[in-house]
Amino acid sequence: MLWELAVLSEAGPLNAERNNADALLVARIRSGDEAAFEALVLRYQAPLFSYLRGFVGDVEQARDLVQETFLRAYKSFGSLDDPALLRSWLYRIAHNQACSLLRRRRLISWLPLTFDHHSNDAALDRSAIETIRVAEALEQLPVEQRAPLLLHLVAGFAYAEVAAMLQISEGAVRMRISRARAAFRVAYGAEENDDAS
Amino acid sequence: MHPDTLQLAAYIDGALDEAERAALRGHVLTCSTCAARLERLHGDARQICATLSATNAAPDVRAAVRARLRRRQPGAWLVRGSSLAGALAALLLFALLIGSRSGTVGRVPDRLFVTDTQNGQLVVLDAYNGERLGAVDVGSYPTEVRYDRRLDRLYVLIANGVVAVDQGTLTIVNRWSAPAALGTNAGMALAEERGRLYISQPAAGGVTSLDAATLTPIQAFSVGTAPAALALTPDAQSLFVFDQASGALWMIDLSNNNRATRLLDRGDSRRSGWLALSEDGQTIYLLRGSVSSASAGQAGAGAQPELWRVAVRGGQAQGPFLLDKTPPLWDLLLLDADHLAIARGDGLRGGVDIVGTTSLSVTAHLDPSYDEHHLVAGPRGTVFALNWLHGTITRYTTSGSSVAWRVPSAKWQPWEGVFVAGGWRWPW
Repeated sequence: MLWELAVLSEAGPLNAERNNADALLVARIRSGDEAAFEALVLRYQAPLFSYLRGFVGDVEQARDLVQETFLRAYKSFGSLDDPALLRSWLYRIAHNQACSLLRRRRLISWLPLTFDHHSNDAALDRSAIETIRVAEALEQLPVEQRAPLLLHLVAGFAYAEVAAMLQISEGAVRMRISRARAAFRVAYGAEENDDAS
Repeated sequence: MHPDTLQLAAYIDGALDEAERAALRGHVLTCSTCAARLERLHGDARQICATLSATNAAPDVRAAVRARLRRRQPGAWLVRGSSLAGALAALLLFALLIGSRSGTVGRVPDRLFVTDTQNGQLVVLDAYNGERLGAVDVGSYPTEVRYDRRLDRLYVLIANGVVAVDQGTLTIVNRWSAPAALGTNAGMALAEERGRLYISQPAAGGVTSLDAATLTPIQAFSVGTAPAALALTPDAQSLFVFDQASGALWMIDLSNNNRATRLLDRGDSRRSGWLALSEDGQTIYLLRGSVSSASAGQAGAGAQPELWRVAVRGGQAQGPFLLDKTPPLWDLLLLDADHLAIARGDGLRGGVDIVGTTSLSVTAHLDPSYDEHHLVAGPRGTVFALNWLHGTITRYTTSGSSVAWRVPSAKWQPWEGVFVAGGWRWPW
């Protein structure tokens, strides 16, 4: 029973109030209200950054992608059919931008670096270590698993919403997230012998 | 028989059929080991959420987005000023009527100030058509030039110091003589608001700060072995220095007793480097090449050039983004928030590579059949490219990938330059 409740709480309830507020915001933006667009950026920049940071695994690139997402959104408000779906529309733009980046990145070799000012630190604090461990474990996940996992866990979209966003079935979303959870457990808890068999 | 991790995860996500779900649920209720494993999966989810939702890393991009939208759609932001348009038009008409008779009013064109290493001059051109407007002798081997809006003057780096030139009258108003020759590849950076000029001295292994108004030395500090290219953040808090002896990038914290931090030290053969800062001052781009590829122009000589992107805050670096070896590299310039430009030239061909700041990959080649050496940022969407070997200056329109004009002259060597926007000269 305890675990079933946890399943529900992770997905989160549909927030009708938020959707109404988003619809109002879109109406104001479409009428040329610049302050409304700033309010939209303020509202969504942090959650979008969280998703993108986990997805692309890089703070600076996530920051660039957040900017690109809002710029694309500003130019494309005409294509937003249902203003109440603003949130998922923004995430879809962000996700597409991130996928483009990852496609380009396959051609480039990325090397992590260490720096003097880091090596001078006596020790990284616990939260910094956890951040690195989580990022490294997420990086091990295939992109097609990482995206639904983060959209569900971090962005709080329900399975059906993720399915609509990624244009796959809800069953496929559940299976990909399950696989992502299992793969993350292996990568993140590598020191633990998790299989009990 | 215990379920595996994937089955436990599928249980959480409702990916099991009814029978599997009931069986697994029954097992977990009676098996403390599997109950703990299930809890670890939930703990992972909480850990991912907590880590990625930490607010301390979340940026506030409002100012950057606003700035980029303004650049892309200037008209949308000008509506507010429409109520002032009538008053401004009346004021302009009044000034024209009064000033045109006295000769004290008129349009000053956009100008390009260029150093001429062959003749030791600072030359001024009309940026619209390349017409030569004037020149002033500044001293031996002038290379870099910076424009100070606050004092309306230019600073020119010469072989043994710096001269300050009034941009309106083209007269030298001040001079600083270095104790020794600055050395090839000395760099210069201007902190306009703070009134400081920073000069790197590769031969002396240090950087000197000057008071911009008087050109008197304030401080000298050592950085690396042969500090060359400089870049300063807009807030004048961080000075970046490329050490051509080691190929390392240094960051000087000007607000903290000039504390130096070495950010990149690859310890390889690359000894020429160029720096460019993003408009918001949050990112610095480093282009590293090898001396042999830049100076000798030998096909295939030296190591493969590489681009790096380094976060000003935190120092995280990304790279290397590898570039073609040939034609040799000559310069790096930030065009706008989305693009960098790299000059290439082997004496015959090269052109200007346009590089995306997000992907750090080449997105366009301007004029590859003509070699170029140094780049100067022009009005939005344009770049000036200088070729000291053939004595040409070319104005490119980057959006249309076209040549607006090219002025040739065999009698000079245009080396570096700065664009100064024109305006109206008023009678008061």
